[in-house]
Amino acid sequence: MSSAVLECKDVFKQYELRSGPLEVLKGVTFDLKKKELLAIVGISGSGKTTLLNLLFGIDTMTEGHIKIDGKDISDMSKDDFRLFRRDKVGMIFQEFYLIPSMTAIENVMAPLIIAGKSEQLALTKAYRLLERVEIRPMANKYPHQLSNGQKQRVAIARAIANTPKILICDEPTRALDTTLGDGIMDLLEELIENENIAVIMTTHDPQVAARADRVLIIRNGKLVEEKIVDKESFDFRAAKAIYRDPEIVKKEPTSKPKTKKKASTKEAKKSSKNSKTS
Amino acid sequence: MSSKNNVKFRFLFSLAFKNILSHKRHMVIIIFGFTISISMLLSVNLWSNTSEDLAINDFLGSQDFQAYIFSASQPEDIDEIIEDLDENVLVDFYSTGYSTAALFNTENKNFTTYEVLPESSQTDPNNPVSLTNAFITGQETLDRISFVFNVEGNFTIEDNGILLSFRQAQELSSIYDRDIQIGDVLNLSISKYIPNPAYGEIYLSSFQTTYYEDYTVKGIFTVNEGLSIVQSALSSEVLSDSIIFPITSLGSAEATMKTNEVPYVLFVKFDKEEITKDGLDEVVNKMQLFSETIKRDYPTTYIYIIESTLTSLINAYSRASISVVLMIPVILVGIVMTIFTINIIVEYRQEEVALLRDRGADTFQILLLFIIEFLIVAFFGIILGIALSFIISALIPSFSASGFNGATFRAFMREPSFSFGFAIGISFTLLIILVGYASLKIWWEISLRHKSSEHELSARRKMERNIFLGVNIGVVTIVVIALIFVLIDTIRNIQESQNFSLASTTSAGYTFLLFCFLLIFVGQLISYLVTDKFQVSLKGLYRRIVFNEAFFLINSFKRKDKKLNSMTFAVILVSTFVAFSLISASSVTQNQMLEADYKNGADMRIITYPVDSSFKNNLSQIDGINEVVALSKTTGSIAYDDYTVVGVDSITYSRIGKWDDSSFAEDNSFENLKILHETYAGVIISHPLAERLNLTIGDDIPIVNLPGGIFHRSFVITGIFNSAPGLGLLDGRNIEMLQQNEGIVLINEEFMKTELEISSCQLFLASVFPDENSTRITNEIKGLLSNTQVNPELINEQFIGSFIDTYIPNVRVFFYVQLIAIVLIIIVLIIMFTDFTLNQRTQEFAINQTMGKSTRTISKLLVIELIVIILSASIGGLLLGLVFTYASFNLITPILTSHNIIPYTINLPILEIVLTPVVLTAMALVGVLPSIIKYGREKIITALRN
Ligand SMILES: Nc1ncnc2c1ncn2[C@@H]1O[C@H](COP(=O)(O)OP(=O)(O)OP(=O)(O)O)[C@@H](O)[C@H]1O
Ligand SMILES: [Mg+2]
Repeated sequence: MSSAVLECKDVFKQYELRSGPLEVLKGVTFDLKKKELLAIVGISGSGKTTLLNLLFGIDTMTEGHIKIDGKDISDMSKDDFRLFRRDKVGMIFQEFYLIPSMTAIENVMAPLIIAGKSEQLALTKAYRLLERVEIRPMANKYPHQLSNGQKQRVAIARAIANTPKILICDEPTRALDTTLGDGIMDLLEELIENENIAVIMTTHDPQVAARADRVLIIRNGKLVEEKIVDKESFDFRAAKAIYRDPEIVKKEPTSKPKTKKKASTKEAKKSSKNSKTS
Repeated sequence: MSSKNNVKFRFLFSLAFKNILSHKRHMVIIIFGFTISISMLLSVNLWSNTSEDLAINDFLGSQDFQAYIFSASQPEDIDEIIEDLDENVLVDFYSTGYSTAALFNTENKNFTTYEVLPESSQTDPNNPVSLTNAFITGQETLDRISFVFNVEGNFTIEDNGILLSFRQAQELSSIYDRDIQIGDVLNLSISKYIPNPAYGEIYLSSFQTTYYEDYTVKGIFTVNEGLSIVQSALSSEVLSDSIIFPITSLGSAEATMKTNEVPYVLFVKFDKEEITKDGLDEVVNKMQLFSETIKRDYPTTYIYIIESTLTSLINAYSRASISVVLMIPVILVGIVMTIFTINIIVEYRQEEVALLRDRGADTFQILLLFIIEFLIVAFFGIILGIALSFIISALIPSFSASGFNGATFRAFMREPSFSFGFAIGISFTLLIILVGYASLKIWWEISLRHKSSEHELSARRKMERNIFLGVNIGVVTIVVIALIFVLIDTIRNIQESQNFSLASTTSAGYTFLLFCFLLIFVGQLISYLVTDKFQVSLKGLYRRIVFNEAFFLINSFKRKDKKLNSMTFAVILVSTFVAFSLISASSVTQNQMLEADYKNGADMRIITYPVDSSFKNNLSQIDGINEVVALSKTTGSIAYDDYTVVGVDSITYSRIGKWDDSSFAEDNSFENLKILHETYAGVIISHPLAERLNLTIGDDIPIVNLPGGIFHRSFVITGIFNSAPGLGLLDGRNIEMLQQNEGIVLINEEFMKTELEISSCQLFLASVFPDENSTRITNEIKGLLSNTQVNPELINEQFIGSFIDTYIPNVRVFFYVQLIAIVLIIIVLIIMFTDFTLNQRTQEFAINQTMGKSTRTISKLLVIELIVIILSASIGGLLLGLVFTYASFNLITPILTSHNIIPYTINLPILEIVLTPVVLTAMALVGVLPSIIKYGREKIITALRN
């Protein structure tokens, strides 16, 4: 347990709608270990974004416990949380949420400035980050002048600017083509390796999910399946089916796993598949 | 078809109402904009109309009479004229009187025809006959004119009573060698005098003197100078040396009066209802028509009507009504505010427009919906504005130096002269401007949404900018050209005379209007400089205050959609006008103080019952008083005009009097005063008189009809002046100074005493040592002589000026009203803008919060941004305001005052000017605090999804 940087226990979330309460999360339990790349999959509207928002502390759960770095977030003050977000946790949003009045470089500089870096230092670092996500030429463009993929990469650069311990990514490759998506995944893996960070991400892309150390499936408000992905023997088709019906995954893989384009720098953890806890 | 349209309209209306209710805040601001603009314009109009009506009403009501008819050669005409008057509906009342002579001490002298010389030259100088003017009339006439007199005792001639002038009482006291007092019984003769112009001597002839015995002195009077027709008919000089005798006592002598052609006077008072029935513009015409008819029917009679004073009253109000232009800044700021609100609404409701479009509404329908909404809201604004204008118009004149005057307020509320035409006119103009703008803006935005491509959009934006620029340049050119023409006109008008005419005030009004328009464009330029150059250039300063977070501040100032910054223009405009109002108000205050000095003439102006001029010695005994000068007055004629002749010790007067540069026609005028002192028969005349008669210093000038027996006297001109402290303009015609419609000449005190035998005096000027308690001195003066006034607020309160003063407020009131309205508007504007900007930026704030920025930092940066914007804009605006005020001030003086006797100077209220940006900023911060707190409390997740 001590290796977990993030623990989630019996988390409930319900929205009060005009038509009545809508229970989105109904007891989510999982943990994120150090240097782990965790993927959460599930059909659209299953509550992935809701869960990530709770983890990031910008939304409040109805019930349950979330511990970050061993600290229960319900014990943390608003300001503690702010500092957490500033220094320890970064998030890449599904909608990017870039600041429209700032150029790409300024968007990346913003968290550095907030963390107290000087403007000069922030500028240098921001350029390096943009280079890392391969959009340095776009540095002085405003968000409305960027494509979705470019925006996404700016958002990523911004999220990792202050080298957080935990990176929360809501569909980090959604707007990217396969090559770029792979590039981002490489970047994440490299960060995990070099900066000791842990990543929790959602995705609809089985290929992306396949690169995770673990894949959690969210269904009916619960993590209905938790299985350790054997990267070598990942059933692509089966994984694809997760998107439609997570039940499918219960079945044994029927075909050979597809080899990945690029070898992971990190050795995948080998472990047996867990059956779902229902 | 039509019923289908009906349904559509009903639907649109209900939708419009629903929209109004769901955008209450913005709608309230639009209503506010309309209300302020309409009420400011209307209230000034309403005030000037109402006050003119009230003043003329008061004036006509308080007048003793409004015309007199005078006939000497053909006295039998009078009976016919009286018959005519009885039939004329215009005539409310008339009364009769004779103006002739009375003799005292004629007992035992037994003459019917008598030659009367001045008392000192009579055959029996030890027992002389006293000659005086006699005004023979009835008690009802006296009751009407009593306000012109100061009376000791009763102002009655009933029961064989007579009234003596103070001067005549003194003369009788010396002749009878006893104090003539109220209650004394006297004998007298009524006679007729014929002056002999050749010698200035007075003979009594061709008249049977009628001897009357045992008349009781009921009262002793002095005459106030005032606007009485009786005074115009008899002249105050005649009245001040006279007796009043009851016409009922004449008896059979009345026939003798007629045969002897004693001047018969008919005093006429018009029916107020009848003469004002067809409007005030017709009053003067009706009076003139009346006068023409009398002249036509009775060619040998002389008729005088009071229309010239009435005309000057009407003129004064016409001039005052031009002060409506002083409200132009408020209206401009109100319009700017409404336009900004429209912009915000259009931006705010773009999604709504898109939705309507998705549902199949075409551009026209969407536009119609907005226009209907706007018209409904504007309607409320206009109604409110009209209602408010009634209150403001009554408040404007109700505040005087002495505080709130409830009676004036009620008078205005009771009988407002509301001009429907004007109200509808300005409401429509405002509607057309604002609805027109709103439609254009909405149409533009709607059609802009159509264009999908970024390229087309930017091309369109560029076009928009070019149109905007083109319109600006075009309007500026027109305004500048118009301004040049108006300026030439104004400068010519202002230089024309020392008293501003209606024409000069009107052209000054236009000048101000055009200046205000020009200001809008210059304001835009300054706004561009402030936002694009100045605010961004302060990087170093921001870094010093907020360190690395200056990054966010600079970004805010650099952003393309300068939401918060677009209020820079509004703040600039407002501070410009605030500077103008502050400077104007303080200059007006200072100039009014100078004017008061000038009116009083010295530290202390002391007005008494007639006393010997040596009373000045008693006055100078008082502790704290430095020097005193006595000003004794009489009248004389120069070139057929009456002049007030003032005798003065000119050396003392030069020291005590509050002279200023404009008093003198020439540079070495103090020298002139000295020369007057040294020249026994010297005179100082006014510049206009010198020009009219083509005279210069050293020339001789004859003055006739001076008292003292000699008809014709010659004086040497020792100086030419424009004005004299405490006396007003030397050429008269100065309403605001409330002085008589006559010119003034100054002569040597010695000449006055010795040659004209006038040593009594009613006016003293005194200088006071610095730091002396003026209340104590005033009380001591009053202790010396009861019934004495020191520095009275109104000088000659019976003159037309007092009627003007009642309802024309101090011009400062306009600036204060303006200040209040403008500041109100800018506060609303700042709150609205900040709230709008905060609303637009909530997502951005939330994003920043996800990166760990604290709400405190966000609020701090916002506050700094606001401070920088308001401070820089208001400083820019104040500087522009200074330039604007200095450039326009001399040209608009005819709006601020009625004359330029004292050069109108600008007074810069430095403290107020410096405080303005601070106060504006502080008010803005307090105003936006609730919004900042509200947005700071919003949950990040909700704000993100905004
Ligand atoms: N603020 C909210 N108020 C009410 N309901 C909400 C709110 N946010 C999300 N929901 C509902 O909660 C459920 C989960 O939404 P969530 O955005 O977490 O889904 P998701 O798994 O991220 O979907 P996707 O894959 O499409 O991004 C949905 O049914 C959504 O309608
Ligand atoms: Mg989602």
